[in-house]
Formats: sequence, structure tokens, C-alpha cells
Amino acid sequence: MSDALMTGLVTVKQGDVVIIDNAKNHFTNYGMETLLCDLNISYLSVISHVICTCFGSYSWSMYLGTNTTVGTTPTMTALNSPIGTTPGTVPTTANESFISGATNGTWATVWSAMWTQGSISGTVGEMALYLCYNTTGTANGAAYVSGSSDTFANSTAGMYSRLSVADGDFNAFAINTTQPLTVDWKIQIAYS
Amino acid sequence: MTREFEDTDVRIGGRVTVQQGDDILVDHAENHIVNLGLNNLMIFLAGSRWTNALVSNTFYSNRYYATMNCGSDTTHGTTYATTDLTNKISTAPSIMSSTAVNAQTTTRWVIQYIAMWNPGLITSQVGEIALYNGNFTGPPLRWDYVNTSYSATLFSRVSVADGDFVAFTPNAAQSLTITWEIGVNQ
Repeated sequence: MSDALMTGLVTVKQGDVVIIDNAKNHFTNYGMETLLCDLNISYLSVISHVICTCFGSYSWSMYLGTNTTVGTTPTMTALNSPIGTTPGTVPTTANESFISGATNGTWATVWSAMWTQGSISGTVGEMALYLCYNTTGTANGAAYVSGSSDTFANSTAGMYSRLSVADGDFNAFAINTTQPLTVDWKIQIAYS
Repeated sequence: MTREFEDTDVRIGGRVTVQQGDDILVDHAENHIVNLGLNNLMIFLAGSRWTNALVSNTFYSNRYYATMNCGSDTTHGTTYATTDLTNKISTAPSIMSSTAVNAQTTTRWVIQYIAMWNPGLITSQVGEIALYNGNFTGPPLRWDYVNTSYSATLFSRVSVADGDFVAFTPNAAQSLTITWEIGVNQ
């Protein structure tokens, strides 16, 4: 098989202790469709305003949930039981890092979220990476952004991939509220 | 390089079919997406925005520049670092089109690119074929890609050297049609 492979790997640390080590995520329809919708982009045309099409990280986030019985399906768009107000409690800090594949054909980005001690609590049974998604670009003739007013197309973040106890991706764990909780979510696209 | 597929992975594949008259010369050969294409895909996840902030301007990328070329080389396989055909036949397609198929119910999404050369335009042996795309360039690290058009660069390739297909010489009396499907599915 010579298909390029997109893989998501999740690592969770509480303080210095690794709770989950490179568990494989499940991509949703948003995650799969966005790649081709963006590939179908053609042009940006403007008269007198700012026009842009947003990519995944324009307004990304991560959320945690408590559900342990519902596995991920392609059509799922949110955590089953998020901790905090839907879509969930936002991380205290959020950062990105990039791994070039120039020398080995494996390109990766790591989204890192950290919740300070006490800012989130509960037993974690599901996690989600939210990236901006594009589900309109594959409509023929709509694969562009054009307008006469400021336009930020595809700026809404949605559940791009999910990790769940129900799928056997990890074991449920109770958050230690005396230590920070860190989640590194890595997505790689590799030549094959 | 071959990697095992697991059901949590998403496959980003390309299938190439070459037709001359009623004859299918190449049937769904599997392509190899190279670094230029992979980086472009990663920018869709990790980038921030592609922005046009200028008055009365239009900038282009990706599908706008999609095209194909044939080449004659039969000895050099594709690697992730490949940036072009080895022996490119420079004749551009007479007709180039692309169609996106949105198949949400099947969890598979496809863009179908079709190139057609009029009879007699390509007459030498074909041993490699390339799909070019207006790939974004630069590190995909939450960057804004501002006021920039991107040119056509190699997205993926099929080659005789990799065993993707058997070399063929087009019949000069008939048009040559290549259909290239890029699909994403789980």
C-alpha cells in the first residue's frame, strides 16, 4: 500500500507522571473531510476588505469528558459528557510545535494543552482535539473565498479527533487537582 | 518504505487510471504523495489562515494550479524527497479539470482530476506520471499565509520504476486521458 497515513497520538501527564503514552486517536468526519476540502481551495478574491480561509489551528482547543461507554464514530461532533460547560473547560495554556518531515517524509504537529492544578476536576473517560474544519470546499464551485466584506471562512473549530475509554484507547483516570495536567496531541502525516 | 495500516489511521491515497480510446492502459495505480504534498496537507491542520488583505487582488493556490504531466523515465522510483518527474514530457494537457465528490455518508471524500491530451501530442513511451498542485509552502506552524499565490509543484507521482504500472506508448491516433483520484478515508 502506498497511501500516505495520518495518525494521531495522545500523551497525558499529571505533574511528571505519564498517565497515557502515545495512545492512538480516532479521526471524525471533520478530520478527514477538511483535508480534501482544503485541497480543493482555489483562490482568494477581494474588493476592499480582508478575506481569508482559516486552517485547523486558527482557533484550536482541547477538551476532556467523563463518558466511558460511548466509542468514537465518524459522525460524532462533540464529547459525550464534557467536563464544564459544552464543549468543555478550556486549557489554561495552549501551544503548538512542528516536526519537519523533510528528511524522513513524516510531518507532524503537536498541540499541547495544560490545565493548572485545580482548574479542572473529575474522572476522564474521553478527550477531544478541536481544530477549525472545512466541510464546504468539496461543493463544486464553492472552493474559494470571495467577497466584498471582511470574511473569515472556515473559522469554526470542531471535534477533529477523539480518544475514549470506550474504544479501549486508555484507562479512565481521576484528575489530581494538586498538579497540572498536560495533554500533547500529535498528528503526523507520513509518506509510504 | 511501507507502513502498516491500523484502523485508527486515516489513509490519504491516490489512484491513477490511464485510458486511450476504449483501452485502459493503467488501472487504478497507487500513487506516492511526496513531501511537497504532505507539507501542504499538514498546513491545512497546523496553519492559521490564508489571507488576502490587499485591495482588488486575487491570490491562487491548490486546485487552481492542478495539472498533470507525463515523463519517460522507467528507472527512478519515487521518494518522499522527489520534487519533479525525472524526464518530464513538457506537453501540457489539452484539457484539465477537477471535480470534488462529497460523500459524507460513506466516510470517503474524493477529488477527481482529469487530464486529456489531444491525439498525437504525446507519442513517446510513458514511464512516470505526475500530479501537480498549488501547494502551500513554509513551516505549518500556525502561520498566516498572507497576500501570496503559490505555484504548481509536485503533489504525487506514479512510476514504472516502483512497479506502479507498466510502461506504455500512446497511440498517436487517439486522445490520452488520465484520471487521478485523491481520496481520504478511514
